Amino acid sequence: MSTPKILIIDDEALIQEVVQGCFEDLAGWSVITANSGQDGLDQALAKKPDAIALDIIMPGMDGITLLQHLKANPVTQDIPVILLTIATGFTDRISYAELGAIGAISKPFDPINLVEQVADFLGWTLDLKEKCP
Amino acid sequence: MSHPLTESNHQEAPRLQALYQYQILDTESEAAFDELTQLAAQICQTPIAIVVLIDRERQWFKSKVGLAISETPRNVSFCNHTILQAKPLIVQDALTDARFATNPYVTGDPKIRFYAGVALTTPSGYRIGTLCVVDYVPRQLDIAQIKALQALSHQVVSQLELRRNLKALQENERRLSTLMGNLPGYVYQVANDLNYTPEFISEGVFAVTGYHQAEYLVDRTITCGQEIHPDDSQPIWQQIQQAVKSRQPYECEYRIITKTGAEKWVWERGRGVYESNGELLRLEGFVTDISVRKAAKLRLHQKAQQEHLMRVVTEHIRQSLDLDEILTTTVSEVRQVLQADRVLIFRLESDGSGNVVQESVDAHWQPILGQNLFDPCFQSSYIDKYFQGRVHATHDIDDGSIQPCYAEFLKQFGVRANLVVPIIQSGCLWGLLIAHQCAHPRQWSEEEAQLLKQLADQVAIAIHQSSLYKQAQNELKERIQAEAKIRDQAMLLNVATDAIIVRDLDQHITFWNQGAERLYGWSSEEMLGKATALWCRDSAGLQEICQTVLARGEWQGELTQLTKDQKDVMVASRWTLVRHPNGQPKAFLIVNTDITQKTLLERQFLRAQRLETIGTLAGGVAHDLNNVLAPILMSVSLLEMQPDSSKRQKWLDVIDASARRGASLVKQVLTFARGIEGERSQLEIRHLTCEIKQVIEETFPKSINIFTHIPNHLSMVMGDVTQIHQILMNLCLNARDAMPNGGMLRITAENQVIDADNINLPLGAQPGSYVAITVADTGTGIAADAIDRIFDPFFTTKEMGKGTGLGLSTVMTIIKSHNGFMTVSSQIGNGTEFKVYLPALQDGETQEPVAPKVPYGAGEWILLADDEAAIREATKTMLEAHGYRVLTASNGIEAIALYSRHQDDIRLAVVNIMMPAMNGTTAIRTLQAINPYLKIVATSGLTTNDTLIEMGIKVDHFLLKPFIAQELIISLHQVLNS
Repeated sequence: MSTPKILIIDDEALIQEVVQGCFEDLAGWSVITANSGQDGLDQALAKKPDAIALDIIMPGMDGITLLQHLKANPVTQDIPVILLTIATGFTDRISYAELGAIGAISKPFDPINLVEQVADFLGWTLDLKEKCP
Repeated sequence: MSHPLTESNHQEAPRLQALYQYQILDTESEAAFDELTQLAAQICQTPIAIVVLIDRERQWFKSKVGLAISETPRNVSFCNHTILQAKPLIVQDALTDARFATNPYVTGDPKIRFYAGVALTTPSGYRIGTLCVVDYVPRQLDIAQIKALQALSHQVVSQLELRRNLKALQENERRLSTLMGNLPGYVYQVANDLNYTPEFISEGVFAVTGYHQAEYLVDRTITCGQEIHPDDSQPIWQQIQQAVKSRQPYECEYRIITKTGAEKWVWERGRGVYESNGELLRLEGFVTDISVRKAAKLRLHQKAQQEHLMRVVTEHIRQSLDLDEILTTTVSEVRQVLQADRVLIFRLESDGSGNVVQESVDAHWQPILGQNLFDPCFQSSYIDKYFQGRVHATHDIDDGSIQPCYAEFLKQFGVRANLVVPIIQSGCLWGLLIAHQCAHPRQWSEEEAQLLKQLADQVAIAIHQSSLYKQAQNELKERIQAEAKIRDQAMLLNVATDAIIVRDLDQHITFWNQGAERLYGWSSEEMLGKATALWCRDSAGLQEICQTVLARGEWQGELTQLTKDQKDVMVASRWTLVRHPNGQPKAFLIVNTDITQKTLLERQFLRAQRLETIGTLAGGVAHDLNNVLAPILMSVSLLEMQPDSSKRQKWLDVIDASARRGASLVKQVLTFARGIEGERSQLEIRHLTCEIKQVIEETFPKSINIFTHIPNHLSMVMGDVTQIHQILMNLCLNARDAMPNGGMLRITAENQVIDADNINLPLGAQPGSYVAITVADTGTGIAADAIDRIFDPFFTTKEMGKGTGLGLSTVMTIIKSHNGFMTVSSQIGNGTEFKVYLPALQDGETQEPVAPKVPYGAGEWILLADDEAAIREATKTMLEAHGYRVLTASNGIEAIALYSRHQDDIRLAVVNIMMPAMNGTTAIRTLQAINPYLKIVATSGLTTNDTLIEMGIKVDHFLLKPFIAQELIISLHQVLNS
């Protein structure tokens, strides 16, 4: 399998930066980023990523709306989506599965955990490039 | 030979007195005596016969025959011997008689040899002289001759007696005649008939009746009855007949009509003269003119009556202060004394009309009490005359002496004659005291006029006293009320929890109530009279307040002060300038309310509410904190995993940025939570909204879009930044909660002017300039039934635990404390819009917000001269509203007169240049002549200051008309304080 391509959609630039760092540096995945819902939808349609890491709370089009758009579009409906969430209890109230996501991860996240969970959700084999000494 | 005075010497004096009574010595010879002497000589056949009267030192011959001498010394007298004895003295031959042998009249001429004398004995027994016969030869008389001689001597004495009686009778007659001629009247003898037909009447009658004596007695053209006054004739007749019947004298006073037709009063006293048989012969008596006495008596009576009236009236005035009662008494007594038909008191009004305020009127005449009368003739010239004390007497309104219109005016009340005197009270013509005679003309006497005048003066005194009394009563009442009020107030002052302090202008404490004792801890004994302000922390601030109070009359605000225990105490302080009755500042009245607890509670409440707000923010804060913490934690992990230095810097930068953001977030929250209140400053809403936007952007759901628009020219507001923050935050939180599914939060602001006629404003909103801040959402909206309750404390639509319901209530409290107001509009499903109005600072205010707009006067007296009544009144009102006191004049003359009366008070004169009577330029010159230092502001619509300067007039300020109030006030302030 070629290097998986993963789209990170988050309005928080710093979050986006560290998540990208984890994916690229630890997992060796290829990363594309979007900093708003609309941007993310456009990128998803254009770049057809292998997976999408989606922040739920965003100004403008929020993550839930974007997810519905993705699932409604045949082009993107099969792209697995993992929700990045801060809202604790969110997962209790609305099942991410009902929304069509394959998983949800609460911030803040440990980089290794994050990568492992994402790989686990996606069923990818993870070859950690940099490990703790 | 010695003087032959004998044992009867002691009788010599009465003898001489008896002699002298006859007044015979040294009188001419009289036939009656001479006849007797001749008879004696013939009977006795002697050549000599003499009637001898023996005087003190001589013997004098009243009558003599055959003798030339008329007297001889008594000491050689034969007769002196004769009067010593009762019987005749016969000396037959003197040469043989020892008593006479050596007598010179014997030895010498006429050589007497024979003497025979008989004493002249008066009826009372005194021998005053002799009848004697003498011969040159010795001889004898026979008995018959002697007896004849004695008889003749008796005849001599009889003759002496007769002579004396005649003399006395003549004297009496002369006396009576003189008496009658000099009597102030006349005597009469008249028949007792109805005419009193005169039998005798003395000449004095002319002086009394004007008729001559002859007209009564000779011509018989007048009788004593005809002259009597017809009214008195009958009573007099009856009185006289009564007296005559009872044989008593009569005395009466009655009137007569004199020949010239004049009336006179006479007094008469008389009696009947009766025959021995008791029949009445005639009346006789005396009549005298008593007109003068009668008139004097009448005057005396009138005077007594008038004095009585004066006494009654003055006594009334002294005893009663009831003006009505005094006036009632006055008119009724005056009418009685003057015997007038109507007496009234006429109260004059300024328009020339008047009211009849008191009246006493004869029952025959129409009362006019209470009528308002307008006399078309009664002009100001009359007022002036009355004012000068004129008494106006009209004896007959038809005699042409008064104006026809006045006569017509009087006729409607039936007046024929009147007497009018002014009542002048306190230098003003109060009214008139008027007497009317209605049936016939009347000559008013000077006394009556004077009486009325004096009464009018008394009435004036009564009016004055009564008004003083009323005034005193009112003052007393007011004082009692004031005292009661002061007592009540004093009690209230001590009951009051407020500290009430009075300080004079020198800062001495003159009042320190129990509230002040409780608040500060110092007792009034410790504080009274001290010039201290121990409780004030900021003495410079205190000075500033004093200045403000002096300038504007009051001040209020909040102060932090000290107690005796050096503890802080917060007070709401209200200062008022207390003035003397003349307007000069006197003291500061300070009322301080302890708001320490209230302020603390308020602050605690606001802080609690803010903490609640933060609580509701917590969700957002948590999200933010995660967003802050997540990059940090992850970067730290990555740093650990990536010893490669090339990437480390990147993670360090992320950590740094995130940590900074976190710090900023915390700071914002803390600023809000710990906010410092109570300090008002000029705020720019733009800055505030930026800060708010930052917080809510950080903390609100991303699903809520935030839109702000603040124009550049937005006015500033005066406010407490923390509290304004709190308002906006509360409103934003409500907006957020109204948009659980996201939406648009809009924050905008604009300048807005509120007109008084804007009907959509909530109660209590004042017109003016505002900054309106709108916080609008696109959320669920508020139901119509809830919208009226949303500002109630503890009202909430949120679930349990989501809100306390204090948010909007707090917002309202804060807005009100900033003198603002708020409106809300909402539609279910479409959202809600809150609009907060805060008073905008005006451009001028932004520089110096505390400066008063218009300076205030400190009760200075201003003389305002302007001929335009409207301008004068408006200016006066405006000046008084700004703390000045004003005297107004409508022309230059009045202005000068006012100034000269109030020189010491008037500080400044505002003089209009164009005025009638005396124009402004003359007035200003005159004022400056009186006081070169008087401050003058000239006003004019036509003249300019340059014109004035050309005319050589220098004033302190010149205002061109029309000017606005503020200009005048400012220029007055400047001139007065220059």
